[in-house]
Amino acid sequence: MEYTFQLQAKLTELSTLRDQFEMIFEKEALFNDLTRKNILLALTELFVNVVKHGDVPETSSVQYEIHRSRDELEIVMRDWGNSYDPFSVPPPDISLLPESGYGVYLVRSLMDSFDYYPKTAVQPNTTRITKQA
Amino acid sequence: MYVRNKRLDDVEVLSLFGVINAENIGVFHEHIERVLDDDVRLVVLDLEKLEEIDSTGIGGIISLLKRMRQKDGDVRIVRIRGAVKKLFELLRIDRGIDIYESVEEAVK
Repeated sequence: MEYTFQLQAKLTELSTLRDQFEMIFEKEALFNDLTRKNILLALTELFVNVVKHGDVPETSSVQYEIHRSRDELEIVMRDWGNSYDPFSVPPPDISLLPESGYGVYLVRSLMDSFDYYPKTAVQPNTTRITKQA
Repeated sequence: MYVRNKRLDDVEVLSLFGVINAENIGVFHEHIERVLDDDVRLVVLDLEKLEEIDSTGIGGIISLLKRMRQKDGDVRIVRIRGAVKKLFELLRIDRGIDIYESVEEAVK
């Protein structure tokens, strides 16, 4: 099965993001409660990164494509925010009490795969995450 | 999400309910500012009914902890459960904040 939708790049869309994926989880009878929460957390972190650090207007769209195959759920997110290198972000050191810098580490830790392709003149940033079904 | 507060002398117990994330963090921030303005020595965060938290919520807790310590106070966490407990274990939150099983234990 395949699903597509898009959101505006503003924090009030987080509820819609969660609703969309909860509907897909239910419809596809996918994952236990903990895994669903972990995927929602990864999606939240990626979306909030675009809104807070992407330097995009609220009217800019964030697009989602979700593919469910027999053995995994693949989620592709596309946005026109500032590109970044998620693989250069160090794991947070809690003993230093950082107030930010957890998001990318959480996505890397909670998902089975995490790929990121920065935007070009004609292609938006493309983030691809997967979770084994 | 919503927050329920209870004052025990100079200890403030904040019970967090539901999902805390970047969309609704303002509710938590309002309680943080109120607690910092009051004569509170210790803030106990009761997370028994907190179902999910994102990095913005964790940042809010860390911010509260740092600001409380600046005024010689402290923050303690009690009763973490489920997905929140797994997340705190992943991030090794216990390296930065003391975690207890009950409010009574935390205020001793």
